[in-house]
Amino acid sequence: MTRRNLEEELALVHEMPMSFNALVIEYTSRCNAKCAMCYQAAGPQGSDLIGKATLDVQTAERVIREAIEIETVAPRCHITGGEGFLNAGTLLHLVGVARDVGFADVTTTTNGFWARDLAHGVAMAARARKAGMTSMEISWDYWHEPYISADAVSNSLEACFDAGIEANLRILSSRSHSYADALRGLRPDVLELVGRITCAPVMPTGRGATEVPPGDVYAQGTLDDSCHGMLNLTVNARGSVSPCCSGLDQIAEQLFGNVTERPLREIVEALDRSLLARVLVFRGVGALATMIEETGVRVDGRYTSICHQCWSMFSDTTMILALEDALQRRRELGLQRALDGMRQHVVTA
Amino acid sequence: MHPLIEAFRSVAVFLDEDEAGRTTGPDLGALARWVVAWDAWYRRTTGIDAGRRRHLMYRREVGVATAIRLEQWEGLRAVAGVCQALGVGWGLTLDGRDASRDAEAARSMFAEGLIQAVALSYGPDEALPANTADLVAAAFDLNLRVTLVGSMRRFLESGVLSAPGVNGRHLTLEPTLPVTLRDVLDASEPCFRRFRVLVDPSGDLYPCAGLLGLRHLRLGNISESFEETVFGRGRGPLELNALATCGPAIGLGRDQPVTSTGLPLLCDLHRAQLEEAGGPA
Repeated sequence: MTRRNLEEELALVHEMPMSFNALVIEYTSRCNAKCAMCYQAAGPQGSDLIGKATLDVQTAERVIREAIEIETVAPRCHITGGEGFLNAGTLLHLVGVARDVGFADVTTTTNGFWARDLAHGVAMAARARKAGMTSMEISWDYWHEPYISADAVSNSLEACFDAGIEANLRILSSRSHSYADALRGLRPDVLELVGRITCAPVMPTGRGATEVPPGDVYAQGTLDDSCHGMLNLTVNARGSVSPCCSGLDQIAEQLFGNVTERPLREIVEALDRSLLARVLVFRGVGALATMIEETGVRVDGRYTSICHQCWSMFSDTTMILALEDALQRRRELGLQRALDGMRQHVVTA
Repeated sequence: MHPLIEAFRSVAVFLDEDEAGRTTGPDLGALARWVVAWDAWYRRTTGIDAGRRRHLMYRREVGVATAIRLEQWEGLRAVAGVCQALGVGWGLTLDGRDASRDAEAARSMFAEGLIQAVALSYGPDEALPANTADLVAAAFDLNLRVTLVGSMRRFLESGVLSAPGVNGRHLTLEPTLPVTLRDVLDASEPCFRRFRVLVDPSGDLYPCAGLLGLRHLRLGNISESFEETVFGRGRGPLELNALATCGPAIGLGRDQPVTSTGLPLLCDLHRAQLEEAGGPA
């Protein structure tokens, strides 16, 4: 690493506040689908990773009210699951709470199953609009196909358009299953109604770690990348808080706090002071991997992205313990050096 | 509540050109100077210069929203250089067919390191050039964020969405076919996420694309100091705070078909209302 890069990274670690593009509330871990690539490993019986869980409505409301007062959280609230529309009443109630407290952008991610029947879909989208939903991310790809009909997805896009909700169609791909393959499954006329289509490669995290063939996955970026510009303050269905919704939100270990035990602001302030969190987001997961290897624990280098690496490392208790050990040693070493410096001062004086 | 100023962290510039194809406005030298002034105003007003609220330095970008041809880059390069010096991102919208016509020049432009995001815009009436996928892949290889703007039917016909070098990359598609809207809204929504500083070809400033060109609602001009504009004075023809937090009080439930401009229905309805009234929002 060049001296300039290290100085820049350390400046970020020491000076930049951690900030978040959205508040994300994953209020349920249940989904009606069980897609092979799901990073949450969600399904009808909950998540294979964090179990069957639902954040109670009162806690979710409190979190929304607290989050709008935290200035490092952008005014966007994303309420989702699992599949958020499994309990549309709860979802739309929380959407309304987010709108009422002042979130300017209130969104969800859905597989569109609720629009199997177009008329029902149109009515649901109208309800969502009235509740305050401004935008909807609708997921569709090869791995959704066994569970959700293309017609339902097409209908959901049409319903959003009718209701004046901006639809963001989210497509994942792999080497064997392209963006074009997924899009051709949908009605051509509705593709022209979508606000935008966001295309990304599938990640081998969650269920994808075992069910998507490794050779089919595209690498993304480099393992030296950092994620500080892409954070979302995420509360999962168990109330556990994490700085992203790309995998760290789906580990069994509770690293940063739980909203059922502490106010959100306290957790966010602790997160912003956490050496582990700050090195992770500002220097990148690669910097943590280096610390872990210094303790003698080997970190497998076969990751396709920093998110893949982060999820993999923090899903492994051995690595978490090694990291905590490494950070503790660094604190002690730093303190020892400071004390040695003070003693030398005294001798000199 | 998030202060209104956070909405104006980015700028979108609209250019124009004469019959000979020369860029006619806004004056690019004046634009470059204005970008410096805008950045200083933003950093001062948010407190960034005083060491506060540094997180508001993220996601700041100046972008050209009009699809330009490669030969227009020469005049814009200086503005892009100013953005680079300020630490602000720079984005461009390119006429996709023109870029394909001289793909080597397009690649060279991408490789200069001044552009962080490129939108390649295609009209709906013709097939995409055969080298479109290669051009898109080149932009990705040079670490640009890429958006394709145009007809989804044409993108699928062209094969670009399954091409090696494009499939598996982070790509955004923006369909642009105008459609006739079938219904009307029964609820407004905050304008905050659609607000940014828009500069039209005459240098006039607007808070959003929906109001572009409605001169009685402009916030100022790039030839003025910031203190002379609504940003500096804090008062103007629009209730910006109310629009940002609640959205426009449009005539909801009007049963009047509206042809989309590609903007959200709410914006089209609001604009239609303002044009009828000829007065403030």
